[in-house]
Amino acid sequence: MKETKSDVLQGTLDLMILKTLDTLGAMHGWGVAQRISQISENLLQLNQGTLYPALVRVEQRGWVRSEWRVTENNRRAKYYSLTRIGKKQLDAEAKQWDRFAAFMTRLLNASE
Amino acid sequence: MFSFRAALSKLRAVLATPRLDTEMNDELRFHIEMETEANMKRGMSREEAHCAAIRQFGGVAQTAEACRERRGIPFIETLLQDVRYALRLFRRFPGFTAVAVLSLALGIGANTAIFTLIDQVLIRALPVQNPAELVRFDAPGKLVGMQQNFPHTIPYPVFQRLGSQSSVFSGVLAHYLTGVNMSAGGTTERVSCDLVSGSYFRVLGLRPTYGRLLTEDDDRKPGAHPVAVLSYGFWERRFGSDPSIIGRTVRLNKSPMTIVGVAPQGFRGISADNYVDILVPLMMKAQMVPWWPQLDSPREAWLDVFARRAQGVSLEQAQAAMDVFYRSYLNEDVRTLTGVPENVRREFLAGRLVVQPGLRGTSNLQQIFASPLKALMAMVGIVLLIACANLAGLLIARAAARQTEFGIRIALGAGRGRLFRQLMTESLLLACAGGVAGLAVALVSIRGLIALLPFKQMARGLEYMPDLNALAFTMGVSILAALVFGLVPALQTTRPAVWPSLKGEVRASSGMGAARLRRASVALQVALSLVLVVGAGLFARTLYNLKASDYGLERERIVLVDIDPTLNGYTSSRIRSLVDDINRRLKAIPGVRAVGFTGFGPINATNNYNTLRMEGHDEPATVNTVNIGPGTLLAMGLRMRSGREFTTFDERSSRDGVVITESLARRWFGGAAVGKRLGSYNNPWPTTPIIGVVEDIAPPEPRGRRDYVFYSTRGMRFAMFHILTALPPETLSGPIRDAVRSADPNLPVGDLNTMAAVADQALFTERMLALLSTCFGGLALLLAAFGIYGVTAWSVVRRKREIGIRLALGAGALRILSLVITEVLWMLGAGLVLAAPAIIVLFGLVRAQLYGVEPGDPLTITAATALLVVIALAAGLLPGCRALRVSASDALHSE
Repeated sequence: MKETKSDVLQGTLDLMILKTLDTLGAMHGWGVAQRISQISENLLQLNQGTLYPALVRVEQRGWVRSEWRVTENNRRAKYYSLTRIGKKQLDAEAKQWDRFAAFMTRLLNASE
Repeated sequence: MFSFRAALSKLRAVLATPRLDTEMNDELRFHIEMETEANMKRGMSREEAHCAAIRQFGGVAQTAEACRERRGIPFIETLLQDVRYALRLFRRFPGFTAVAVLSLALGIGANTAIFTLIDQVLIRALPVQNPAELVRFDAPGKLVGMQQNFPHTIPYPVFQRLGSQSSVFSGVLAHYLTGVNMSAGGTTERVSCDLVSGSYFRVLGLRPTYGRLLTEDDDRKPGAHPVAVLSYGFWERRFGSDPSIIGRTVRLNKSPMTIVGVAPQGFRGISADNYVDILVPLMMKAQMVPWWPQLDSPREAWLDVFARRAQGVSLEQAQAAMDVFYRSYLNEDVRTLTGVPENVRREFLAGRLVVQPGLRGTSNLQQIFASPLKALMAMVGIVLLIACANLAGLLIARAAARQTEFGIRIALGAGRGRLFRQLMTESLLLACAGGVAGLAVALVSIRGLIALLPFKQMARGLEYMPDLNALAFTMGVSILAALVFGLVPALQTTRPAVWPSLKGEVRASSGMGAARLRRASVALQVALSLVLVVGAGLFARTLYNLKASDYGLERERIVLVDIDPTLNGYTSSRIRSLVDDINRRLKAIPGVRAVGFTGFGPINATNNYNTLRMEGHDEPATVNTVNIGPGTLLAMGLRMRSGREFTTFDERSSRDGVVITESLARRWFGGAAVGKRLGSYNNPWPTTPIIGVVEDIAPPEPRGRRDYVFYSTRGMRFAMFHILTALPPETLSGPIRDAVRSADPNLPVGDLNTMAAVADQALFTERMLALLSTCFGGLALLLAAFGIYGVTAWSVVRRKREIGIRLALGAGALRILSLVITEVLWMLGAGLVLAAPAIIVLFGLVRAQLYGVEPGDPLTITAATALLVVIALAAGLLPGCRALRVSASDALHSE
């Protein structure tokens, strides 16, 4: 069953970006999009465009910084990387997500 | 969740928009390229790969827009965009912009100027502690006795008794303003002196800047407290803010007084309009006002009294308490009245002590100007409305011309809200520009208006700067103007009929709504202009009537000169010989027909009046009393109806006698007045004989008291010479000064005025109203004519095709003209109909300002209407004639 893009909450998109940058290090927008769809094994059909406003937001919050670099193919691209407080935000949100998932699991099991 | 860092970054983004836009486009382009390459690696052709990439992306333009919105502060960015666009628009049409800003500036500026004056005169409260608790006393009704002609004065005994009403008032104060001569450091000058009760400063809750203020201890025995307090402004001006003035002695009217303190800054006395230079205990009255030393007569009302309401006492409760208090006081007081008939007694006992909010202090300016200022405010408001209506019309036409532009933008997806906001931004910018320019106009007008005030003493307390209230008011009016004249065209234009405007069919059909609106706005302007023009006509006629009600004295030919010899240390007897000396010298000037003098003020002055008893009557008579020198009446060209006037013999033998005016004689003695007696009303046996009856003379304000009783001059302090000239008065000013100087070279001479000039000053309100309403009326007519011209010209342009066709079909010039004129006549008609009820309502309000003419005066209204019709037709004919010159083929080809 494929998740449609409307099911993806905005906050979780932030979490995905932060985690991806944590794993990949510095990466441009397209790279992040590739990685996310790779991991989700195409379960998640994001319109890639929704990534960019989210990138604007996390950069504004200071969780991520950006700089323009040249790629291997000699193209100019904007690279994003996780900041220290971004890492802290990532850890906090991941913990919260775990707790939420555990609670949902318990709830769903309890109703039987 | 609000984040400071995010907010800061958004702000930075607003300032760096172009660069960030480029970067974003680069970034998105990069993404699409990479995706395209990836797709190509999967085997698609370049085109397919590209299309797939874009599809996968989900709309580049939308993403870019979403990023832009997230990145900055969209509201500010669009606002800036609107502003830039509006400014470009204004630059392209400088004429329109200039007219718009100018008419707004005039309307807003005039409004602010009048409002500033209203604020200072009517609204501003006293700078004292809790001014809302203060009340002011007034004793309207028959007082029987002398009353100084300030409104709201009461006698000293009433003030004394009020002091014991401690359950109602926590404190009562009294004061009396007069002028005294002050000598300090070798120079003498006339200063404004306030005689104040010991409770004055305590009740007002004031603290001294230096030294101490006056207390109850300074107000116990008459003449025993030679101390004084300086006002802050006077201390600054005259003593250079020198603290060592405390403890020094100055002379007031020759009496040494010690300065004990300086009043707080910003306190100018309880009268909002009169500057107080120095404050002195009430008990020193005999020293400050030596010609009237008596303090405590119940028959003399001269004190201005204020009180502070006690805790928990409301105005109504205070008034109720005063009703009880005053009734018992009157019942006591009436016993001291002798020979008073029953009905007068009853009227006397019916007198009331009225308690009013004392917030604004007393103010002569208030009494005089409250009503005319409000009338002016209304007039100026109307002018502003007209200017707004005019601008609305202009903007409607402008917006109609932009239909195509708006149609395209709407088709491209612009929201109505966006367009609406842009139009409102334009209006607001115009309004702001108008507001700023208006402030400049206000500054100039306020200066001008205050300079026009005839009583310079009054004007001293007023400021030239429009204060914060006025500023807020201007801004408010500007915004309101923006809403008023921007809203209608904005709503109108953003109602899109998209297809017709795209096809360029802007002319007849879609312009219909706009045309109707414009015509409506012009009809409104016509109505408002008519109201103003009628108003101007009424005020002008009032002024004319007032000036024409002259009789008795040749005011243009009488020059008034006043001297104050006590400044130079003259004693009473020396003053009289000085006056006689000057009198002789003035008579000797070539060109002078005759000279006379009075003890104070012009011969027709109305500021000193008395209640007298006429022989054989019990009713009191209230008359103006004037002291005149021998032969003055005849010298001024007045004719005696019977008897004779004073001679030097009368004066030397100190024989009593008065001369009265003829209508007074007629009313009380049926014309045979000579030999009868009159006297102070309190004396049941009048003893002063009437020795002559003179023709009537007109008081300075035609509505003033008309009865005069002339006494001879005794114990002179001042003198005012009346010089009847055969030559133009200006030519004699040099010789007159020389004559006075030759009698005593140290004697200063004040301004020389003709009696007519002084009378003109009394007519200041009427002159101001007539002048300003004429200006406003003219302005309104101009604006309305402009509006009519605009609409008609526009209509001609719009109907060019139709006109061309008619001409081609052989229509005559008259036919074409009548097309145009009909439109004008409709607007005129609608306007006149609108104006009728407005005129009836509004002029009921100004009835009090008028003299000799009714608000509904048919002559004035007809003349005003005729003027308006003529101007309207002329304004409409101009474009009409141009319509005739349209050649048929031109019109048919124009599109």
